[in-house]
Amino acid sequence: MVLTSWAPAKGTVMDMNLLSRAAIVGAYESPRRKANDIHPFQIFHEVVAGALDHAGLTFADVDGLCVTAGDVGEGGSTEDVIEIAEYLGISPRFVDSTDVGGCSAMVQTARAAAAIACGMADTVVVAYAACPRWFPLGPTNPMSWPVGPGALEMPYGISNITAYGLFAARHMYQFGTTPEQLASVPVAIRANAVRNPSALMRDPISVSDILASPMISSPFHKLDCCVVTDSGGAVVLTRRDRANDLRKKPIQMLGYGEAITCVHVNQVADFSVSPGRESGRRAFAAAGLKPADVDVAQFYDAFSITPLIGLEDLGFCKKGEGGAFVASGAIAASGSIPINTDGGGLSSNHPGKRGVFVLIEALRQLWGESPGYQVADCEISLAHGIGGFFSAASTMLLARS
Amino acid sequence: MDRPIPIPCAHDKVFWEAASEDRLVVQKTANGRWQSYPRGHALDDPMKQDAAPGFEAVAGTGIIESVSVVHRSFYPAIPAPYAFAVVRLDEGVCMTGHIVDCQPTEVRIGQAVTATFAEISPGTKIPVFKLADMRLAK
Repeated sequence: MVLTSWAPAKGTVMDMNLLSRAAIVGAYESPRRKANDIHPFQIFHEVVAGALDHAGLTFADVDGLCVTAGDVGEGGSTEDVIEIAEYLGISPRFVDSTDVGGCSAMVQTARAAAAIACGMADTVVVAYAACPRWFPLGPTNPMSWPVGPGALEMPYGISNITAYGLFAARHMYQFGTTPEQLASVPVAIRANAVRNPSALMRDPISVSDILASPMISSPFHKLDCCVVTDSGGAVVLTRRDRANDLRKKPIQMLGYGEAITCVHVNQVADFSVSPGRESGRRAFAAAGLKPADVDVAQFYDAFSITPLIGLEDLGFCKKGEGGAFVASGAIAASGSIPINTDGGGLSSNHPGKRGVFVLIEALRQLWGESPGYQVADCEISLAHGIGGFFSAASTMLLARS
Repeated sequence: MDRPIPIPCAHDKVFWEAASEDRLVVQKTANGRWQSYPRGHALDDPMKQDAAPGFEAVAGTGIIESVSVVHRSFYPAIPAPYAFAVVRLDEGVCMTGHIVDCQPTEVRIGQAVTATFAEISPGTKIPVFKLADMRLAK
């Protein structure tokens, strides 16, 4: 019996009726992908203004702000939400800077909705920006330090690529997943990026292109890994009873769930599953929905393995069958569950914490505004964010209110 | 940074002292359960204060739980390629480590390994693993 088995916490199912007092009313993704000499806070401002304008609101309406900017590529601020509020020139009455890695903006959006539902704020902006390509302090912080918990991990030279590589290698060992099956994930997502004028990489690619690209950390070739961009995005939430007069049809969460496990790979209880299994179970239970009800899904895709394990964890296919599932064409625009319709992090945009874009594209599908592949008659849209090394997960089921 | 060097604290000092003498020790709780990495409390008795589990010597034998071969190193003092693995010790707990004294690309999940120690800076040794007689385990 291993003591760190990360048995899921028990609790009641979320009260989605209470949460429906809040609605998501605007979103904006910066078209930037390279931003030489532009400070990330300038992009924070651009995306906050962009999302407010999309909603038909202004800075005067904002009384809540949620951001993370603790990584160096994000500005490296230790009191990030205060410094960004200061830069923006606002003094909100509700703030949150929960940092669970890539899906931070998604868990902050859930907190913002809860805050609005109980009157802590009326209008909250959740924003993210980073410039890892050029920022002089460096691209990113290490996940941990060689003292305390990280003392037995950091001296071995771990990167996020290697950490996810361990999950992919184990999946291949345990279930017979092949490099070709893994490669079919970035191939399907690139086909969506081809349609997106803002995507960083827009040339169609094949499985053989991926297998021919240099090995970075096995089993990942370069094209199994996400792009690195300077960019940002934001979403706006407000009180549902104030949302009817705004520009966009208000969107509400039908279900929400999140979960965490661990950030050190020597603490992973099972390399074949992620915390997405629990966040997904919680979200579908809260919504009373099942995977077959979902019209389109956005999966965090830092690496080819990330959506593959996500599809299994959420129940779109059985555990161990993700390889065959992604290679079958099911995740393509024409498939049974189109994913990452904007080109994802693998081809379009990944400045560090992609969760905000996972959410934005899920929202754009409901507004009919995808810049990539727009699914016809989209009613139920899923956003599935991951943070750390499959360390955190956030699952949202969204629909027009 | 050439490579991160571990800095001992009160709760893991015994582990690092043992490592410097080529000995692998793991914490064992009062209930007889193994825990790693070292902590100042027992995971199976978390309300108990000032009762860090003691360390016991282990053989350092285990099985590779997963491995990724790093071909692009971020650390000048860790030249690529190297086999970055998570090893499940016979006691059930997992440890991070390199698989050394072999071709990194030939390392496979499920292989049996034994702990050995690498001096990464004067006086500081970290546990790493070598293949145990190429004996394939299932």
